[in-house]
Amino acid sequence: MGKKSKKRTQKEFLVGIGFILPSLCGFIVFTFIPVLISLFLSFTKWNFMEGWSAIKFTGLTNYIRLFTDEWFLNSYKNNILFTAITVPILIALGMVMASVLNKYIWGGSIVRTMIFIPYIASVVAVCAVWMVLLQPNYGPVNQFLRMIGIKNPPGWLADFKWSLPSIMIIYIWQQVGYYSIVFLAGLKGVPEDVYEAARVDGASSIRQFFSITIPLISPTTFFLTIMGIIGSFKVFDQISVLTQGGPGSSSSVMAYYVYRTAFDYYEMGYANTLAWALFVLVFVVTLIQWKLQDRFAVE
Amino acid sequence: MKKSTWIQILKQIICIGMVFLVVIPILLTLFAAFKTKADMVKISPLALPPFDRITFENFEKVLKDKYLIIGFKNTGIILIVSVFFNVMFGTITAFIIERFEFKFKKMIVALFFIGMLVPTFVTEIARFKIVNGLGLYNTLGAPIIIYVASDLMQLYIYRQFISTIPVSLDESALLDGCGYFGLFGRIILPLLTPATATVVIMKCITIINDMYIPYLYMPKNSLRTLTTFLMNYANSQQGSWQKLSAGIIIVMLPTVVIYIFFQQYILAGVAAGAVKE
Repeated sequence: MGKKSKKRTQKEFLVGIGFILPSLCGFIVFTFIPVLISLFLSFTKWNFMEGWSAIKFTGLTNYIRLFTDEWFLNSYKNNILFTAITVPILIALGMVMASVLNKYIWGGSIVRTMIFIPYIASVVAVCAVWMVLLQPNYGPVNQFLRMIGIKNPPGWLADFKWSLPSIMIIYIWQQVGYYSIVFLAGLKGVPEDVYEAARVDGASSIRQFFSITIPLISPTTFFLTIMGIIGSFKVFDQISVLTQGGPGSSSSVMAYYVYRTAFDYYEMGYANTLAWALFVLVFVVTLIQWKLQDRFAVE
Repeated sequence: MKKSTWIQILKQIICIGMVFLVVIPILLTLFAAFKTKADMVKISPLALPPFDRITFENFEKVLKDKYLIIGFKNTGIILIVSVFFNVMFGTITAFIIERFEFKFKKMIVALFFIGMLVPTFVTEIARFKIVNGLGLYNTLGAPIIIYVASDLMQLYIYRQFISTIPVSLDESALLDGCGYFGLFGRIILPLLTPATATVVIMKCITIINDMYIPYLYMPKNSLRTLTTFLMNYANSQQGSWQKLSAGIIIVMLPTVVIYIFFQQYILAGVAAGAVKE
């Protein structure tokens, strides 16, 4: 806007700050200050019911406790397992689905609409659907498994071994449409003449997928991997609706354990320690991904 | 047959398989919602009952449930108020950030950005105490203030959009004697309509589907939303799944209907998130 007089700059400052104020205040009160409080509380012992005056500073005690807390260790392990299994499956399914939908296919637009519906539906509704489907005694899934000759089908959500895998299945079912649609948007950016050239050179569809599609959509894959990892670290709703972390701590994840420690046991100090332990995980992943992103760009 | 034909057939099979996987759970729920208790046992979950035995009784029972009505009302109020303020603050803030230069601007923008990186579970406990301190616990004010203040997705969409509007437009408007208010209200805001449509629809879906905030901040029965209604209903109706199924379908309906009508905006919103990288 050219050179500004001092008066103009001052006016812009006032107008600027003035109009940003509502957003800024909200942000400071509900995000910024809470982060600081949370970091501080993670070094204290505080029963939430006793008011601010009951806060006791305990140094690193909470952080040391993490290493002997079985629920914490299990939840951490479950989180990593959850991520390591769901993210690659979602990426693979999404990519296959998107490349199928990218070219002409009968009923393609209807399929596109359909596969996104679980993602749009509320997590609670989706969980309720699966609660019924996976009911151990008379749920349709186990009825079917018995019909095809499996005598003792798993107890799914009520089963020590199967509770976490069940939640993974539900999570994948709900997310796969999102991955497909984002991949599809990425594929639209790949110019058709690249495929044309490959066809002229006699490359098969499979070859084209591995030699053209995968390398050219790697930025999308990268984006989805970051979002997927971070999203799966935050998984909470499914656990809280379906299993409450049970049976035992077999399906507990960090976000759920934070909630439980804070709002069921009122141990606010330790709950914040847990939250920061999870945040470290998220942050480290983001850093690693940023490093990898540079490598992507160089190649 | 030619090899390419086989590949086309394979693709078609993958497609159909995927649709089945997605649709069958929903279809089973829909079928169950039309069955009587007796037919739940007699008829395969994969089939509707014979035409003359289809019942609407399950839907009637759910729709008469006083908490479902309360849920619709509360979700509606929270939705309208939060979306209104989201759009209002979102457009103004994005406009100022994109078009004005002033002291501390860089710092403020950086702060917003860092805020988006911090996951909710880090801030939740302290935020709970603050909301409590403001006297908003167990009121509709709690979710509204949280939705308005802490989800900044709209800032990104609006900033992207405003940066595509030429600055020369601002300059000529200001030269013609249009004040900052006029510039914003009469020129920028109307031009932002497509972005606003995306923001409104994305927000509607997130808010209608959110379970965490209502569950944590509004345990009171009279403050149930659609999602917390369904959570309670799922616990109380275990065993009478035909009724629960009707409940699920009704709670799913609003967002699915919004999606079917406004697909392009939702896909635009999803793509905007993806393009950000």
